Amino acid sequence: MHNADYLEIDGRLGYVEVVGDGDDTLLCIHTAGQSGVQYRNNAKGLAALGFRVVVVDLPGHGRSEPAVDGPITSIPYYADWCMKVLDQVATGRRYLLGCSIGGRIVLEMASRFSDSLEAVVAMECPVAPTAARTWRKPEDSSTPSVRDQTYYSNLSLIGSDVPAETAEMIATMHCREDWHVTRSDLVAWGRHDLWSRLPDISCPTYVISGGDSFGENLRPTAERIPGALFQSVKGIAHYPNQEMPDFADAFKGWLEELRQAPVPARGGN
Amino acid sequence: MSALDERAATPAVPEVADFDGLRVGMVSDTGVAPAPAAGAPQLPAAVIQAPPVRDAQVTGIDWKVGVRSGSVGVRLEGIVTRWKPARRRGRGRVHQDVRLVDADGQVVERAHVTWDVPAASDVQDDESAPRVAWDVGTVAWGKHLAAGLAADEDFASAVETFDGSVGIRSGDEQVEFRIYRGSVIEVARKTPEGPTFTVTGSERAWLDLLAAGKNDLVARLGRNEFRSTGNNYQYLRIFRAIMLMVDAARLAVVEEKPSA
Repeated sequence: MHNADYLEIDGRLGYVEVVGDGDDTLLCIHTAGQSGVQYRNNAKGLAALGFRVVVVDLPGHGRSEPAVDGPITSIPYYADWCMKVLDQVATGRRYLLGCSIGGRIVLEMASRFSDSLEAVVAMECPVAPTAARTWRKPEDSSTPSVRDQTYYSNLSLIGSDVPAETAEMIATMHCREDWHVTRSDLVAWGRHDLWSRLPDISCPTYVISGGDSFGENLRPTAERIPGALFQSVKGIAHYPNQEMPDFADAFKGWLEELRQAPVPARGGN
Repeated sequence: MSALDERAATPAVPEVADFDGLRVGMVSDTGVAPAPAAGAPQLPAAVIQAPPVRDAQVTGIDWKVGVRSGSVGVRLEGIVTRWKPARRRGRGRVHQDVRLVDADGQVVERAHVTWDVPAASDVQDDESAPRVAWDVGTVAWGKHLAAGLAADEDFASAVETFDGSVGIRSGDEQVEFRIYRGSVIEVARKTPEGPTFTVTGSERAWLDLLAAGKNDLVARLGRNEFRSTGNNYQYLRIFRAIMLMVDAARLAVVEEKPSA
């Protein structure tokens, strides 16, 4: 099964793809400024693991309408929006997967809704003890050649083991974004104050880092989450699900590790 | 060890090398005497004990001490970052990036070292100097680069609406490219109105960029190995041209004959 639909959430239409007809639901969340198209090569593989895979375009991204108040600068807002998506389309147990701000959204959801989540995998989303990014309104007049900046900066975020053709595809696909939305997402990331709430996460959690990106710098985030597992994957960088050709197999392995790991006490501390 | 890939990595410098045999990117690795006392600086004495070439004399050490305090250096890693043949006075120059590392391979002290080499072989002028592709920031290097860019349609397109000068600085060397309507119309030490913006890195930073497996200038900018100064709007506007200039510089290094 591969269905697409527009859901009405907070007065606007949000685009959702559903792949597979498994009993349990896996919600996939994309990176800053991007869309669910980042999971185009993963969704079927993940569905083959027995999931009903739900891939969202966050408000203002991809095929979703912008939020009523324009670009979002709040990770908690995105987390609430994603929960509303799940409430409309999810079946069975709920699993979460996200990368970069998608990973932050996953951790935000886990910090508040662990009791309703079976397991989460958060990729490339270090949490800092302090959140301080200031807001500056995006202005095209002061930001030339954005497409070039996007292309080259994303090329630099791809791992050393990734074939050049794949890296070129990832960087080129990123150029579809609206940079005002991307900038707002990064502000949301910078403002996101989660460090003190990481210990509240009580569902099984796997934190994944790209070895050529944040690497071991992501370990402190994982260590602050009760019972969380951590892995830094060599040869890849900021986009594991786009860089790893065998991503679904890797994801399956991470879930198996979580199932065998000691279960943290529900309810957190 | 050096981050250079195979194109730049060459066998370690012999204990006493000839000036003409020295190349940019050449790596040396020597053991050093223990520190005379706990916490005492080791690097200057170790450097003097390990010249990169016969009869070389230290003329300057830009030295950063206490990079990893409380540790003791056991090896001195050096890499040649600039090689200048002699002119008139019969004295050549060699620059090195030098790092004192401890038993765990961590850098304890580091320095940029300049050497004077008396009675080195003469050449008539810099433009005929061999190994120009590695001599980033010199006018000779700039002219070599501009010649390569002249047939690059992507570069011409990227700077089609640019009217200004781009400065490239490596250590103490700076060259400016005067660009107008898609072409480099002059390469000079200084242009009349100065550079619109300048991209700056240490000699070691440029060496690593030219020798890396891919053009990862963006990542290196993020790590503050390079910086831009001047008109940031124009820098952002023609950033693709900067990437293409780096591509051309990297290609020139690959194409340069090893025997040059």
